[in-house]
Amino acid sequence: MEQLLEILEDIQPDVDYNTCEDLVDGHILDSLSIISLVAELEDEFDITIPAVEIIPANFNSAKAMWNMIERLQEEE
Amino acid sequence: MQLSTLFLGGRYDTMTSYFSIAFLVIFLPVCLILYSLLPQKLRKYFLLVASYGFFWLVSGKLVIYLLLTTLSIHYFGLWLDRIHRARNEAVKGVEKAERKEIKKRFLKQSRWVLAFAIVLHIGVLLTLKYSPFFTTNLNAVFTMLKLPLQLQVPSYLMPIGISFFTLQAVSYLIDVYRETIPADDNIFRLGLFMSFFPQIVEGPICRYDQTAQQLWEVKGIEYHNLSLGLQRVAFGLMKKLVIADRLNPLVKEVFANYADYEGGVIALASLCYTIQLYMDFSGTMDAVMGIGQIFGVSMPENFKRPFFSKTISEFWMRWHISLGAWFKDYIFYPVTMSKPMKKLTTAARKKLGNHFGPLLAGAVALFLVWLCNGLWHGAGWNYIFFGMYHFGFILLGNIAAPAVKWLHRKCHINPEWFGYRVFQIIRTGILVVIGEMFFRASTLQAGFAMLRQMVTNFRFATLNGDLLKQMGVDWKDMGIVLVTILIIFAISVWNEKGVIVREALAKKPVVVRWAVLYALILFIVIFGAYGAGYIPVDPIYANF
Amino acid sequence: MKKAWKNILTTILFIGILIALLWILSVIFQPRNNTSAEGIQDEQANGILAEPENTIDAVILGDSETYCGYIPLELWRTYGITTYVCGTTQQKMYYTCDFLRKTFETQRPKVVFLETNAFFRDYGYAQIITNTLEDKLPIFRYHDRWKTIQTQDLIDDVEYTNIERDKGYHYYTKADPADTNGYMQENSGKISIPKKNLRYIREIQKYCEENDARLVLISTPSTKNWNYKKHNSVEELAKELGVEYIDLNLQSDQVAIDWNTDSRDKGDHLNYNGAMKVTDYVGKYLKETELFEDKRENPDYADWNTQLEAFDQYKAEQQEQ
Repeated sequence: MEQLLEILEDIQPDVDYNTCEDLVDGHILDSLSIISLVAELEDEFDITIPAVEIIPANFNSAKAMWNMIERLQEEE
Repeated sequence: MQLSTLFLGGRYDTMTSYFSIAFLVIFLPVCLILYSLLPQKLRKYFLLVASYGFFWLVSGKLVIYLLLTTLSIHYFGLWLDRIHRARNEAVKGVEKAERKEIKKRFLKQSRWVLAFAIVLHIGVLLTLKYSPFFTTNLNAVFTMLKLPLQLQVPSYLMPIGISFFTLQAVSYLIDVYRETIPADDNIFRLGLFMSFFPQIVEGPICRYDQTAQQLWEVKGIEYHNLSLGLQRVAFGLMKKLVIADRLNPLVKEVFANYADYEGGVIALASLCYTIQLYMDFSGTMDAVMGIGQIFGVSMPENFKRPFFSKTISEFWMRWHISLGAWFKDYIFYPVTMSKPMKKLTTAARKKLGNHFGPLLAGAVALFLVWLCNGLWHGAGWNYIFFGMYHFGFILLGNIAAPAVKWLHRKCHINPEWFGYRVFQIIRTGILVVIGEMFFRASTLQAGFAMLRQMVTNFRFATLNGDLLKQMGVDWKDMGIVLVTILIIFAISVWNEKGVIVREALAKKPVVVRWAVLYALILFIVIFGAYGAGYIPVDPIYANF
Repeated sequence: MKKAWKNILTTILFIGILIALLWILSVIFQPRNNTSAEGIQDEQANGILAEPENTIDAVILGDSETYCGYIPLELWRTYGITTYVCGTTQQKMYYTCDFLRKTFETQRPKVVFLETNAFFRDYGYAQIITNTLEDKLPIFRYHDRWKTIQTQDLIDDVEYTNIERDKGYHYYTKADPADTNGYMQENSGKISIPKKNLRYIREIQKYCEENDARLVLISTPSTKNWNYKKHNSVEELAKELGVEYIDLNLQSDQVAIDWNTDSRDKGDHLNYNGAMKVTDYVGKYLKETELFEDKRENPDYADWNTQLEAFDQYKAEQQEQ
């Protein structure tokens, strides 16, 4: 989880990822940040994130992202 | 056919507009009454029948396109589902290493099915809408190359809403392919999702998981929904009748004869067109959403106060939202998340860092999105230019973002400062108006000519009562437009703060509520630009 | 159940008050005079509202064929019979019906000519609804007066004083020759008259009967708009209604239209020359009914002579240009 938070801080600083729950819906992470984020996450956690996973439900909060990462790791 | 002549002829008679007498006074009330009288279990089927009836009244025999599209995606969806089920069977009790191989095999199968289906549906849309444009340009190339070959330019009749329901159909198929939703085995439910009459003419483009089940579970009309829904329809009617129709002569005149007008006047006409377009389209959306609310169905909003946007990127998250969302989910992310693009991003991030790295793949995807967005609006070079125009500014905004941030720090500008935000809003507004000028211009050359006029000859010297008369309006008209815009602005500010005005109104005492409603209705009756001497603007988005 | 009744009653009350408000607005916005400055539509046709009561002998109702083809002042000059052209562009039969009733509020014409071109004009029910709404609640027709309404309007009564010099005729002299190829070629076929219009025509016939007026169907010469098939349909209808039908397209011996000089727009409408010939025929017809006196010396009708003088002067001025 800490790695995730580090990555997020790096891509889009000045956001409290512990509490924020509308990263996508609130346009805090824009589509280009998402592209960067996905590349980093795939690298760091050795998973593949297909386009179908790029939905607000998966990216609106750090927690949601972590759940997705864990799920994708299992499916591999 | 006697029934179709019920809606014959005349300016207010065609049902393409949800504000036509034929629709608002005849079709809709009859629908609502029959719907209410029918037993609950028949209501959804009635909506399906009414929706097809509506389609037929507007496009006649061309309803076959809607029917075939629905049957097609029904069949392809079930096929995809079968492949998924077969795959799930095949991987049962198999080793992890083998599982990947099996999944890959089935994925290839489903991919072919999806590709075929998409090519089929998009192909029909392309042929109907773009083959004349394509052939004309091909002929121009032949002429340029001095080849003695000229193809006959085809001309096809298009069913209403084909650009909208084709995208909706493709989104369903992709969602089934992605296993976001199971295929719908109920052809009627799928049929209603595809044909629901308030959304067929101008959208919004809905996702299956947004409206299909809602529609299938429609219940009797509730008084509260009826009241609030009608209020929203009335609000849309005000936007259309008081503003959009009133600005019609001015817009038509200047765009048809731009050479006769000074740059400043052309700018004014472009501003008026942008206002007209917004009022017409968002007003229609108000009617659509209002009617949806009457049936207790909530569809996604297509507009969120677009003129409060601070950047062009933001604008497209607030204007025609369902179209932007479609492109984002079905073009932008699939392209940027494709293997080659991901490789590009990874390589680029190493060389260009975290901001500019993803921009390469992003730019490619954005280019595709904006090419499609421009073309979706029409088969014409000015539409392609329109797409590229917005692509350019969005890309520019992204490239310049770090530099702008640096500039802010250097000049001690706080981007949150109200004054700066106003500057951003006005700047975005100007860019949007110029873009819309190209959108409306009769040809791309005309667009450039108008831009040149605006830039080199930005004067208002000739703007007086006579010029206004020549353009079909007078000072009083412009005054009323301004007043109405202010009203809408006030309501928009409330909306931006999260207030739904008619719900807030419902909580006020009856006297206040009715006073406001009467004021709204009488305002439309008195100041609407209808009747003798007025030509209503054709629903602008109905042609897409 | 109670809630449902409460809702229904609330709705009825809401609509009731709304209609009351619209009715009040209708009274306020009603034009106080029959001029276009005051907001009246079709100013020339509506000039009849200002004509002194019971002074019009015959009216002709219909579309642009009427106001291009019939000249009341010329008819007056030769026969001393008062006629009025109640014609409007693209007139629809429901409008014709309304206009007839409006005319009879202050006039008692003994002959009503119904121009037949409008019989074949179709339109949607939506337009009928619009028209009915505008009739019952005139605010919908005159709402645009918000731009011109004066406080004086709130005090004044409705009083129609605008006398149209040309009594509904539109003067035009230029000629644009017509192509007479196939014009009125004999044909046994028929073009059907829309059912809606048949209903209105029958209503008009009944109304004329009840009000002691002779209804005459008349077809103005036009190469573009008229043909034998239409003639057959109208003839059949006239027989069924028991009314007279005059097809001027087939009276070339009495109404010798020269299509090189008598049409203003390639055979769509007549110009002044053509209208003179038609008017003379109609004048003769009216004289032979023996229903009307020659009122040229009648002091009560002196204004007609005044208007005729003004018309002659206007024509002279136009010639000079």
